[in-house]
Order: sequence, then structure tokens, then C-alpha cells
Amino acid sequence: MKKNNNSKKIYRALLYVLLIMVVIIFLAPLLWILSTSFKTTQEIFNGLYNWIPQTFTLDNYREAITEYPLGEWMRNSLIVVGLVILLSSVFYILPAYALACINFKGTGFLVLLMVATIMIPKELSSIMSYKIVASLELLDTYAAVVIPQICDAIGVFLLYQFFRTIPREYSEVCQLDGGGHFTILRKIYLPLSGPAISVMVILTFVTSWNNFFWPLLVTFTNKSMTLPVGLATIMTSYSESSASRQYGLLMAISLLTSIPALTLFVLMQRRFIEAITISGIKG
Amino acid sequence: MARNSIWNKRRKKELRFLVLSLTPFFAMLFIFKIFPIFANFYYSLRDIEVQTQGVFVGLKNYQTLVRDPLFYKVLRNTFTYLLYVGPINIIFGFLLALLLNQKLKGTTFSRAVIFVPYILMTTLVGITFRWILDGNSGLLNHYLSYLGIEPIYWLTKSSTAMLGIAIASIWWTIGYNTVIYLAALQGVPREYLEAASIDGAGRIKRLTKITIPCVKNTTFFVVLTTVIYSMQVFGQVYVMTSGGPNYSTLTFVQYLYIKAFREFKLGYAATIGVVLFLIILAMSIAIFWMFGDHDSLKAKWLGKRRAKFEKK
Repeated sequence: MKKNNNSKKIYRALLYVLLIMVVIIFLAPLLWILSTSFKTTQEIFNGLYNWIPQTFTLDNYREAITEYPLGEWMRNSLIVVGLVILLSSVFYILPAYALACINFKGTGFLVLLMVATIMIPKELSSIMSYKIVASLELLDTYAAVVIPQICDAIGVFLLYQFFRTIPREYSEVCQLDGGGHFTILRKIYLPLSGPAISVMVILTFVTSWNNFFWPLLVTFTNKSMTLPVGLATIMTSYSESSASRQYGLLMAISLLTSIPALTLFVLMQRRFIEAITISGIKG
Repeated sequence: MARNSIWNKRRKKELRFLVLSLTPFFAMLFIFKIFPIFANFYYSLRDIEVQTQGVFVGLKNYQTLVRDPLFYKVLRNTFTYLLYVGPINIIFGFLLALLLNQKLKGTTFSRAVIFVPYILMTTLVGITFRWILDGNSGLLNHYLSYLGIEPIYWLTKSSTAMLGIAIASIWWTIGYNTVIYLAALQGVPREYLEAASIDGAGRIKRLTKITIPCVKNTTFFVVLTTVIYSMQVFGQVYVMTSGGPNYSTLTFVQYLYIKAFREFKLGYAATIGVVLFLIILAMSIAIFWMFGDHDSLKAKWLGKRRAKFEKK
């Protein structure tokens, strides 16, 4: 009996060691960004690899803000993501409601069609999308970045799944009172769908904020360039040798530009993970 | 009579609502998701530019593709990436979830730590790992030197560049699989595990006989998404190596990007797109087939349709 107890203790201790190792491995790159960003260039390359800077400097941050249009890129990113979330709320909620709550021929087909597109890589549609945007002379505008992003079937599908769980009786009562579908949607479905909508918004935020491929194709100037693309231009403008001199600056930039997403994650950690989980299980 | 006209009016109103609510989204879906796939097939038969529809050239683009040595390199590189990242992301994603599913202190915090890289921007991950994998002063080489390993010039040597990109990608994305597996593990019935434990089944046996079969559907999803996302790898490569050195990290999507948007050979790029689409389609079908859930899937769809039919 005692032996069994001991082996259990050892097992648990082993699990803790493992857990701590995993946490260290995953945190290390983030902490290294933080550490490097406060070091002077000499210290970065002194070969000591100290985690806590000896001479604490803010020069990297000063240079990041004054030398690069981070503010403009951040503004563009926020506007683009804001517009995508706003538009997709309208574009996703209405069809999800219609598919889930109105009986008509072809629902099954439309849902199937939607689900089938979820797995198609968006890079594959880039050639035609680019031609459309170019022929509308929208290149290098917010519209060019935003519009092709409003067709993410996952968002509609999640809402559709959620709406189906709301009992039909509620809306039937409302219908008897003479309410149309807009009324039912506003008075019954939306108030009940807070969690589902927040999941959709978080998913849209993550995909749109991180979207790199499409904005890379259609933005050329700081007028519309989003953060991921801006960061890439900094990186590709350095040659191999000069980049290695600038890591303090680059890490400061990395840290500054990840603040919006990190803040949101820290504030709504549980919702975030819930959103990703739901999209995984249902998608 | 009067009743009938009210019904008609309502039906009309409903129809208007349907059209109004479905059209915008499905129009977008068709224009930016569905047609472009067919358009790729069409463009691949043409010599085409951004502003024009070009001229029909038959299978010329495909003939060029099969003779294009870079194309084979791209194929090999993309599959190499998949081989590095796929198994690790799936197996270790699952093992991490098992660890986090134990009753230990700090698992909520650990889950957040493992997941947080996933919300960072690709480009940012690329920049960070260019620094960590730096040959002369990178952090990884420093710690490897304790193990007696000579400095590795990760991203500047063709033999290790793809491995370097894979390391960054694993750090970035494994948390996604872990979080999804974790949710699935919480759905494994406790009674099964307890019953097996009473019957004298050890940890390993419980894992292989109960837990893994119970999360089969999740494994299917995780395998499918990991494979599809790996075939699309782009951002990390773009920032970390831009395909080099010596094309050793040039991947499918990046080749498509270069042909379409640097050289503006849209017809040829569309051909690459068609091939990538077919490869992904074939792999998805293979994965569906491998997990062999045809019967239950069919039952699910038929069941759904029957339920709807009965509702009517």
C-alpha cells in the first residue's frame, strides 16, 4: 500500500517537472523578445545571453516609434479588423438565421456548400480576387483588404449551429403577435446569442488581425498597409548581415505591435480558448 | 379566402426576407471562394495578365510545369515541411493535452502559455525565430552548445533551413491542436476509465484502449487541418528565408505568389494553384477514407435530413 502511494507521488512529481519544462520552453521565446528589446546593441552581442539586461535601455523603443510608421500600420490594421468585424456581423448573422430558422428548399445544399468551402485554402482564390479588385481600381485601399475577407463560412456555420439550438416555440409566439423575422431576430435570437456572437467576433479578429497573404497582395503604401505586411517589409528590407545588428529594435517592434492582440487575449483568455475550441469541434 | 391572402402575404414577406438575408453572404462566397477555384482551372489554360483575359494556350502551362525543375523542388520542400511539422504537431499536441488534463496546479496558466503564440502574427513569429535561430548569436545555438553541439547555421544553410522554419511553426501552432484535444479529453467518459482501472488496466492500456478511440473524431479533425494548413505554409517562409537559401525553403504558396504577383504570370500561377488544389483534395479524401467513418457520416447526414423532413 505504502509503496503504491510512493510511486504515485513520484509520478505526480514527474508530471510537475514535465509541466514546468513545457511552460519554460513555450515562454522562452516571448521572454527573449522582452529581454532583447531592452538591451543595447553591444549587450545583445556580448555572448553572455543574460536574460535580465545589465544596462536597461529604451532606445530600441524610441527608434521603433520614430523610424517606422508603426502608428499608421496599427491604425490601418485596427480599421480593417473593425470593418471586417462590423460587416461580417451583418453578413453572417442574417444568413445563419435564415438557414437555421426558416423552412425552405435548399437549406441542406447551402449548408453543405458553405461547409465545403471552409477547407479550401484562401490563397487559391487569390488570383481571381486580385483581378476583381484590380479591375475595380481598388488596389491599395481599405476596401481591397476588407471585402474579400467577408466570406468566412466558419462564422456563419457556428452561428447557424447555435441558432438551431434555440427552441422554435419562442419565435412562433412572436410571430403570432405579428412580428416579422427582423423582430424575431432582434428580440429573441440576438439577446440569447451573446456567447455565440462573441465567439464569432473573436475568431474573426484572430484571422483578420493575422491575415498576411491577402493584404500583402493588395497594399503597397502606408496608406493601407496592415501591420503583418508592414513588419514583413521591415524584415525583407534588411540583408542578412544588417539584420543581425538590429535585433534589439526588431524585438521592440515585435513587442509593441503585439500589444493589441495580447491585451485582448489576457482580458478574455477563456473566451478566446473557448472560441478556438468550438471552431475546431464544430468546424 | 381572406385567410389565404394573409398566408400569401406572409409567404411573400418571408421570401423577401430570405432573399435579403441570404444573397449578400452567398454572393460573396461565390465571388471570392467558389468561382475562383473554377477560375483557376480556366486561367490555367490561358496566357493571362492582370487586366485582360489573355489567350487560350491549351495545356501549355501544364507542359511547362512538368518540366519546371523548381516545381519539383517546391513539391519536395512542402512535403518536407509537412513531415517535420505534421507528426509533431499532432502527437505532441495530443501529449500536451494529456498533460494539461491531469489534476495539477497551474494547468490553466500553462494552457494559456502554450496557446498564446497562436494569436501572434506570422510575420512576428518569423522575425522572432530569425533571432533565436541566428547562427552566431542565437539563443538556441547557445543552449545547444551546452550539449556539445556545434553552432548550426539554421536558416542560412539549405540542409537545415526548412527545419528552422518548422521549429518556429511548431512553437506557433501546436497550442491550437492542444486546446482542441483538451476539450475532447474532457468529453471522455470518466466511468469508462474508472471501470477499466478497476479491471486492472494500466495507464498505457487505458490510454490506447479508451482515451485514443474516444477522441477519434478530434484526431480526424486535427489531422485534416494540420495537413491542409501545412500545405499552405507561407508567412513564416516569406519572412524567415524568402524561399532561400538556394530555393531550399520555397513552398507551394510562395511559388504561386512569386509567379502571380511578382512575375505576373497569372496563367502559370493558376496552374500551380490547380495542382495544389488537387493535391489538397486528394489528401483530404485520403484522410476521410483513412478514418473510415463513412457509415456514421452518412447516418448523420441522412438523420439530419430526416429530422428536417419530419419537422415539415
